[in-house]
Amino acid sequence: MKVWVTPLAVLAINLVLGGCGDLGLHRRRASPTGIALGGQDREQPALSGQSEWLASVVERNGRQTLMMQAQPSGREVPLPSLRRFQPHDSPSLSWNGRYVALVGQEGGRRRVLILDRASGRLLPLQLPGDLQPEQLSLAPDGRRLALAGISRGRRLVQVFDLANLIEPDLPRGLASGTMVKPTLP
Amino acid sequence: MIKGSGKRQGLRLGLLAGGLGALTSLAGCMGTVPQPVFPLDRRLEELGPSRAPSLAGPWLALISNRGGRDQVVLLNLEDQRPVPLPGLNRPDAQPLSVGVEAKGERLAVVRQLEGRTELLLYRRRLMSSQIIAMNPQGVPRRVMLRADGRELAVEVSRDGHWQVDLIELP
Repeated sequence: MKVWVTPLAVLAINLVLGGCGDLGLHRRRASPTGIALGGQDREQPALSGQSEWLASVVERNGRQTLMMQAQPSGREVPLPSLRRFQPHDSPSLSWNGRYVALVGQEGGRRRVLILDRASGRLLPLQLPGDLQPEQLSLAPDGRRLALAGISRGRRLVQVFDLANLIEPDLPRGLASGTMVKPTLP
Repeated sequence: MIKGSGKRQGLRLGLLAGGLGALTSLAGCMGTVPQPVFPLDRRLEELGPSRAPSLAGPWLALISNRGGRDQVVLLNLEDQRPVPLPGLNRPDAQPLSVGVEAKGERLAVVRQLEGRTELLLYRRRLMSSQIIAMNPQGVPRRVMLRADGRELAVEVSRDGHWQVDLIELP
């Protein structure tokens, strides 16, 4: 009897969920900012762990530029140290928005950059081999980074350990006693 | 004689120090070298050509091509093995983007199926896929699932522009 109950329960839940579509979902457009975004493209969104921050890519002066906004106000925070690495692609944020990882460009070469917004330090990563980065994902705690790109003509994903390069960015209440919670602009 | 040898040694030491200094500054200019996670890289190579990674907690979701077909793969980084995703990868569907939460329970996927592009939320324990319609109407392309699995950020094509929708999940 019990053998049948579990699959039947799962089937029933599936039917209910499948049938209800998106009922009850709360939706909103990402908050606008000082510049008119009505007719402008906004791409590649990334949220911090509690949606305090939203990173996305917009076009400014003809170049793909990372836009960092507090949510839900939409207040934009300038990131001047990233300007010389345009065009920007594939932003990813750590839990509290302390770290911004992205693919940028320097002298015709695509580069992986990690900006620590607490210290202002910009960390360009030197990738092993000939991996041309295209897309990335920073683990919310900042301990690992997954990169997708092309190496020797082949598409691949690689995962890197950042534990020795940057401090973790943990949810509030889980931060280690020795680490002072940074104040972000 | 001894004096000359001392000078040569000093010169060598100077050159060595200078060389090391130059290498250090060169490394500084080139950037910091991150360490790949071994032997995960070997495991990822076995998956075939891969793209669209999403990291959260001990989970890595990505799209890999096996036997000419793209499919969503979820790996637990602790044992570095793919976990089963029953009902998610349909042979007639083409996944475009995937996001995973830190518990590894929910995945958000954008896929093409029967000529349309759709966003779905997959729950692993329930083996269920829930289609999330774009409202107002639009075509999703990329999705990011927040680490706690409670909000989606979706890149949507609407009225000829790319926009960002934020969708809270119960």
